[in-house]
Amino acid sequence: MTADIGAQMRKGVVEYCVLGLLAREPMYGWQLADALTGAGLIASIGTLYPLLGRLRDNGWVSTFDLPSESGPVRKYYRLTEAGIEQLERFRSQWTPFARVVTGIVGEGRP
Amino acid sequence: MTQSTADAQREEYLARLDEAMRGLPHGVASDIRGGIVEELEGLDAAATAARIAQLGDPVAIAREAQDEVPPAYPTVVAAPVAAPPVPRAPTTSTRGFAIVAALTLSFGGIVLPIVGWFVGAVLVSMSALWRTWEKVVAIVVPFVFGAVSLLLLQFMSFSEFASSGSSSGTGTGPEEMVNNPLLPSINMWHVLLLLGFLLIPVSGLWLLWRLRGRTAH
Repeated sequence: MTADIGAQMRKGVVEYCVLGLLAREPMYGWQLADALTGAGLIASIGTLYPLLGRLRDNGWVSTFDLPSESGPVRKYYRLTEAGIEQLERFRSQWTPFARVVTGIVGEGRP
Repeated sequence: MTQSTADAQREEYLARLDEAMRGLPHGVASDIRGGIVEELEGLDAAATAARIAQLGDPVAIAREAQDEVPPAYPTVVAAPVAAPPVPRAPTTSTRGFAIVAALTLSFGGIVLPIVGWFVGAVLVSMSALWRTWEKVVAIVVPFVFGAVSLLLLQFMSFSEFASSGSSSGTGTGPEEMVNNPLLPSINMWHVLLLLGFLLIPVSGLWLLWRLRGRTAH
């Protein structure tokens, strides 16, 4: 059986993509789901919440409630200090890693 | 559409979601449900329908969440593996069987002439605690010894009878025949025969002696 290459790569980076999104601003679940599904990184909200749970368990994100303008109270996610450091570590490794991989596999036919 | 329609849509969707997420860990399921409730709350019927369409099939949501959940530690304790039954040695391999066989060989003939010894010989041959040569020696030697002695005794008796029937001639008399140093005397044949029969119980006892220290395989 041929492994889904995209799925494998997404599994490896999607948590850091969430950290990257939250580094910009605190976001609630639907916002994150919308951004990540739009980018093709997750399939649905079913993938997002277990992932957010892992980030919270690792101490990389925390939550807070904030009433929305339309009425319902939303649970927002934001980066913790540990999350910021983790994202920095990822950034420092990702660029050289991507460069090495690209150098090896090439960029394909022009 | 009215707000009650929106509420009904939301409740129906959440009920399907709850049903689909029954197998998920409680924390994950409540996070997903909470996030969806947030999104559906306060929407009118049209917006609710549109958001539900965006969310997709609750079963698919639950399946994707399940794929993200690390495999739980097994909660079902496997039934203890039953200890394999200790293979029971066949009866013919037991010391008890061998002892009975040897005693039957030794004294069976006394209790039940010939047949008793034969039964003992069969039992001895069935036992797995003696080597083949031991069985052969125990069964054949007394049998051969006794049989040969008996045959010779019969032969000698016949010869004696034949000799006595022709005693009027000048041939060897019965006394001379009996006293012929080249042939065992009748008493000696009796002793040999007796020895042959004595060998039977001795052979069984010898088998018992050979049995020492041996156990079933």
